[in-house]
Amino acid sequence: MEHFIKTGLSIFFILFLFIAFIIDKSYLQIMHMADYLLEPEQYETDQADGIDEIDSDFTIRLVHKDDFVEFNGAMMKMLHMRGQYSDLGIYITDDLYIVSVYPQTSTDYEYEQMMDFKQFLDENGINLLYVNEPVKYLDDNMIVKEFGVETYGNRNADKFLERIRAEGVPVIDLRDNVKEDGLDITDLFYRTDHHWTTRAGLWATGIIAEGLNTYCGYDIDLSLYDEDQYTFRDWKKCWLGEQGKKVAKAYVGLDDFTEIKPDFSTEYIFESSKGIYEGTFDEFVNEDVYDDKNDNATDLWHYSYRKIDCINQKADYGKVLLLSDSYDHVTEPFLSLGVHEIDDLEVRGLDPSFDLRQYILDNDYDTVIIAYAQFMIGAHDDPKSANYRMFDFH
Amino acid sequence: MEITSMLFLLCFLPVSLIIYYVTGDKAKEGVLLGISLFFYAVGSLRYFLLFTAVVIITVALGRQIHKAEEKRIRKLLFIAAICINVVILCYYKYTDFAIITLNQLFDSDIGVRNLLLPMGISFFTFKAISYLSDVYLERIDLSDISPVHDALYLSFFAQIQSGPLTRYSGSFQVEKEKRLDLFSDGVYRFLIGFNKKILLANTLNNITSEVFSNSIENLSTPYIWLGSICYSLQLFFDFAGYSDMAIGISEMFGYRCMENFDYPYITDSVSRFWRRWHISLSQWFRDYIYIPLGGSRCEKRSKIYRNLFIVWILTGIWHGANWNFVFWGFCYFLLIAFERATGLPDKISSKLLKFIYRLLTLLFINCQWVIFRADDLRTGLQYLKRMFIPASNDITEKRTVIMIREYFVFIFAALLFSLPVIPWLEKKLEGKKWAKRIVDTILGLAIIFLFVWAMSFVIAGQNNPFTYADF
Repeated sequence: MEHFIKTGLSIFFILFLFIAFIIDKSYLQIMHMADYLLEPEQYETDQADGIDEIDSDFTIRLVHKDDFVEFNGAMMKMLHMRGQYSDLGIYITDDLYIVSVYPQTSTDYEYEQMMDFKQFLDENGINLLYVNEPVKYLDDNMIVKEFGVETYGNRNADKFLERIRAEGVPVIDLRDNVKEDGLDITDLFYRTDHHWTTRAGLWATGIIAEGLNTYCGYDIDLSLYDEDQYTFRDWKKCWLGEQGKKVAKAYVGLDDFTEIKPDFSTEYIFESSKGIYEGTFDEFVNEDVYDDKNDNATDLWHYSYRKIDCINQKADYGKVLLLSDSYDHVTEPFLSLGVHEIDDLEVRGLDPSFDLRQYILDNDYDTVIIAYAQFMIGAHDDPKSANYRMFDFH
Repeated sequence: MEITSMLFLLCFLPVSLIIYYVTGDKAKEGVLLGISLFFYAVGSLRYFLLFTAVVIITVALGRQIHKAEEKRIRKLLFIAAICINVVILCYYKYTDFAIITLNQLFDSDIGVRNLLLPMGISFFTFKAISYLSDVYLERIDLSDISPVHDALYLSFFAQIQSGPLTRYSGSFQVEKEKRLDLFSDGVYRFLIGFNKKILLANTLNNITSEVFSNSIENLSTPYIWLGSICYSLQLFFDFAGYSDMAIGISEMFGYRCMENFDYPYITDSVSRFWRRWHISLSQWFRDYIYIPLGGSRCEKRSKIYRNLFIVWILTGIWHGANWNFVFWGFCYFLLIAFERATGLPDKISSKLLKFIYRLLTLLFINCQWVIFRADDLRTGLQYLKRMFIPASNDITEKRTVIMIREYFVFIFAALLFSLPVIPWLEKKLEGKKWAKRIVDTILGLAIIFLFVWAMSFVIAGQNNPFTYADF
């Protein structure tokens, strides 16, 4: 190569390095590295060495990070590389609908934990209801056909639900309701996020309420969940989901969002980190999230719905503990409309010293609902999984 | 700290360059040594003290060897210094392997130590042996050389992780007069290496990690063939990319560095493959093991093959503490011994037969990489069985087609650039000034575009460690 080209490359490289050095305040990282050498423990995590943690933190904060990610996404889309992000657990269909795959599991651990927990609840006269929340496809073969990859999410759920049903656990498998109601599963989920939509959440809550009536002796007025009792406010192409952020807007585009609020009056007593206070259903919805910047830094709109422990002053029966995951950011607020009192816990985040069973007894719940996305089944096979402890009901 | 990480690229490298170039010439080596030790501390903190101690001891003993006048003392010091380095390497790299082997042989239950490897220990030890041998054999005169230079040779951050195994005598010299030219050469090499590693090796890694993490019973013949070919290409672009970056960084700091690759997959024989692949390692074994054992000049032919056997078993075990690496080295010994005994590659005169032999050579190398990639020897042999005894699986066959379709651009580019197309193009353009200028400009712009694209992969979290960093 001619010398002048190499000189040109050097000038580009030096300018590139030093502009980035200044705008990304790279020099500050030297301090972090020095800190790391003096006190390595403060940078170590379960997942990464200290220096990798510093690198990861630095990379996330690069000023033009989003532009690079977008550029990468645009190139991947141009090359039609739908499995490029498979190491992040992501595959992209031709309709730009992001799906994940799940490994096979025996379901033994989950089954044993469930049986033990059921026995505890039975002994204390507390109802148990298990709700299986679907993933973004109902047929594992769809992934095989589209990507040539085996996935076991639905088969794992089939096996687990069959086992606990046989032991008398009341189960709502929402996949059955999707089929019975003739719904298209892809309409129930965001394309760029693994969560279901608010509309799907409202629909699912109606079925859970029906399940409480059927299995737990409740008498919830199911018309509370009729769509005509609500106001729907739609945003088109307004946010990018959690999975979408990994592959870029340029690849999968943006998702729509619908805010749903009841038309009827509501009256609550809430208990949260803010203390105990009164309010209406509006308290569940953080509308500050609805910011149309549409960039990778914006909050996930799914989480605009919040799970807050509450007493519904307009309902006079029921004290429910909802053992939930992030899908229930949408269902817990809607379910609260039909029961007197509802509290929520995410088992994966509980302190190991927390005694769940004593907590249940102390709070005198009449019903425990376990509402889990079906990929929680098998998460315990991977000690590094964030959901490793979801079936630890102790 | 990976040299492809943003922390290295946007922070460590510019800060190091600024400090180095604002420092006066006399202090430059000391500063670069400090930077290198900082790099090691950040990258392998738990072994920093051990590393520093070994560098100091090695340099001190090297200096004593140089000073000692009595032959016996020199020899004793030399043996002591070699032993210290080799024992440390063996302890960290081979203790668990020895324990597992003992447990298997004697049905014992000795607990493995699960020792983490100190960063670059295999490369560091070989460089230390090179330094000590060159001093002992008086290939170099240390009289006018500062101990800081010796310590820098052993710890230079550009080469500490995975080489190249530069020689103390000869190539590790700063070129003050040509520093600017060398800097632009270095940037060019660094950019080329970065693009090779991120765009080709990392992308092909998506295919190979998927194939080789699948359970054996799911592997169909086309699927494992795709995985093996992609692994051959991935390993080349991974290590050649690293070597380009290491050479580039060395040149940015004014040091020439020996080449490590020369389009190995155009080789026409197995023996010549190793003159093109990891050249610095092959030459190290030649100079410090093979030749001292007598090399090819032994009177008895059996001794020549004994020497080859020792070299290739050591080459295998150097790459990893596992029986698959020993087997891998042994297979190279067999083929190289066969070529030596028959002289076959040179005897073939027909073009067709030469072509067939070349294909067979590549086939053998590809199979060898499968053994190399496997978790253990048994798994490696099972992979090979699946490759040569047709096995069917609808899902992985479908996946093979999908992966070829999706990764076609990258596989094609990897195949293309594993051949010397750029040197070929340059040769074609010799004497055509303007055509060369236009082509070079296009290539320069392409390198910049690819570098930005490669950056986008790293920033998007699509990066993985260098394969040879594990050795």
